[in-house]
Amino acid sequence: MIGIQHEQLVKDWTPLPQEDKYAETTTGITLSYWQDVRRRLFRNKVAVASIFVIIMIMLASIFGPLLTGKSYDAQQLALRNMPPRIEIQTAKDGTNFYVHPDLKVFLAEDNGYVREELAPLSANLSDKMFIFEHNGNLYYLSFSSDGLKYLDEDQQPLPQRKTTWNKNYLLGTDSIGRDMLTRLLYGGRISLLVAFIVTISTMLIGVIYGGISGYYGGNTDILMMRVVEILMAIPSIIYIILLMVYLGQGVYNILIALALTSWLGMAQLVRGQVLGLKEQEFVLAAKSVGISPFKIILNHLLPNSIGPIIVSATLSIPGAIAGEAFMSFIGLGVRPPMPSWGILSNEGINAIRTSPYQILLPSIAISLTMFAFNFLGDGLRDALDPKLRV
Amino acid sequence: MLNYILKRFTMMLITLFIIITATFFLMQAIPGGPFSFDRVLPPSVKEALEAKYNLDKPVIEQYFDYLLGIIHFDFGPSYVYFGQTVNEMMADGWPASAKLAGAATILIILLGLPMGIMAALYRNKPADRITMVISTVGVVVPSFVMATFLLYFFSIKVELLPTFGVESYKGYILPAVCLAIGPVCGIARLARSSMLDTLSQDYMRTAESKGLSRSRIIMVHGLRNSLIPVTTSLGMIFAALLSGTFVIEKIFAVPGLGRYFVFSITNRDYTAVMGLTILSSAIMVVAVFIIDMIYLFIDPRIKLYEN
Repeated sequence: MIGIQHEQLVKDWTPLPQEDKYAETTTGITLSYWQDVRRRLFRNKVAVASIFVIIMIMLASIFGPLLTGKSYDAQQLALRNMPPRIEIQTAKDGTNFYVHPDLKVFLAEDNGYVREELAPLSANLSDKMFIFEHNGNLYYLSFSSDGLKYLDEDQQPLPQRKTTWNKNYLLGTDSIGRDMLTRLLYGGRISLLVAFIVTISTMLIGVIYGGISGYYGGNTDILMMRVVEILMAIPSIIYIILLMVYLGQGVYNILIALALTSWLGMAQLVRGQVLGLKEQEFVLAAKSVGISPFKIILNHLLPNSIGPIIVSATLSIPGAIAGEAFMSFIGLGVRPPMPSWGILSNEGINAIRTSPYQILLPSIAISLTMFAFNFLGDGLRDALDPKLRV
Repeated sequence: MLNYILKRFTMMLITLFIIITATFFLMQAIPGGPFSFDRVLPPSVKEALEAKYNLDKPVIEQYFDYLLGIIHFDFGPSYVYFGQTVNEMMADGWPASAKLAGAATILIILLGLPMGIMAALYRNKPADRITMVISTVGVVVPSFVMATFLLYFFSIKVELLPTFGVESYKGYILPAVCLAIGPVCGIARLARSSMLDTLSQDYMRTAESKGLSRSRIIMVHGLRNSLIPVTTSLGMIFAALLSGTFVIEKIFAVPGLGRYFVFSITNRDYTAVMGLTILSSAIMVVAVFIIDMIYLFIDPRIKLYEN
């Protein structure tokens, strides 16, 4: 009887396959807080793309200027305002020309190299044309009201024309013949450097100031926060300008001016965090065993409020980039010839009609970086505290 | 309530005083006086110039003179353009800047708020998505970068609007749009999130269950409450407008205060820098004060807390 039952049981109840062993377990793999943050961040496609873009921009700014083989301040006046895309015109005898909108004619190569400039043989101003001579053939550059035309001896347009990349200067040259690519990459170095240093100093000042204010509380807190409130009432741009006028142009000065003006928000944030945390038991425990206030702030309060601090720091990077660009743009930032994206915009804006690439390139670089850091900051905020998500 | 107004007013005066003092002493501390040119002046000429502008007096006396002057709205003479006073510069630049800022403010109110409210009402619908994409771009891209893009497309590619100058009303369109675009997008985002927040409140459901019409619920119960956070951020919007005018006026060659400011910085015209700094901060600080007063009307709870 018992034997039958047992056999029946074995027939009905077959052992589970090994991989289903944990099917009934309800807990997943335990993740620490930071593992969880990382998982949430990497699930956010926009944030991952932003990280990728930021890394690319940083690598390009660090190593790019070394690879272009040109310096950011070497001038080639003959080749100024060269656009990135050029139209090569080929004559019947196979000579290649590049006609620059500034009424200049260059000898060029088929693959996009621009060589020396041709000097006009004579000018026929009544017919609005320049006459050039090369290898015994005459060419006419007509600049009448219906546009720029380059004609051969028979007054016909050259038979072949094609648009190609400028091989001498991949992104063209600026108004005094400096390589735009090198300047753009080097400018990225300056802009990013300013942004990172300003953000780190903002964090340091803000954390120390806010930490002290929040931890000590009472009159210290009231006084310190009143100072912050008053400074916040002054539009920051005004006192950045004042500081820059006082300090003078230069990379270090813009660092000082931006760092001195951008810590207010961080101080308020840290103070709020510390204020909320300091009444908790673990702080009381730390106090009761006689740990110094400095160590309590550093070892107990800050690690617990690091999330919002990181988010705020990430979001302050684009602010610093914009601040530097803004100051350089109105002539108070980095000192030329050193390029930054703001300086490049400042120089490019005057040529927006004739050489729009000179302003569009730095504008695109600034926008791209701003987007990347903003999206990364948003992603970090969502990852660190999903409840905050709007 | 009177307490609140008084407190804000004192705060405003203190801020203004600090700005004036800091500006004055920072400018004093700059090495080299206003007359240290590349070409060294004969000592007698320099002395005469300094006597003329009272620069031979002790600094503290100069400071009180300057304070007294500002109380009478007198910002002193320009040190670079001889014979011109800073007041004249301000009077010269004022109309263009005011028109520009006025146009931008109208755009902000007429576009920003409705955009945000529409986005909130049509949450997750295409209208919301499009608004959010546009407003993200507008918030992230700095005003002068935006200006270069718009200038390139509308004035050079399409040749629809003039690149610079304000001879006709057309000249104001692009600068005003560039100036307003950041604040419009900022307001739209804020209005959206604050309207969403309001819509999910219990009293909204109560209003609905009372049988009120949808338009009344949104216009009366929703709008007023969702305006509170928006009003708080108006100060930041004004700051954005202010810093925007510096670059926008430079880019579009609008003869306004911002362009004078940038000019006086590049020319090291210290009295003009001081005067224009103080004027623009004063506008800003007064704007913040007015916002605080508006806040009082929108959010009656403040009166309770202050008492």
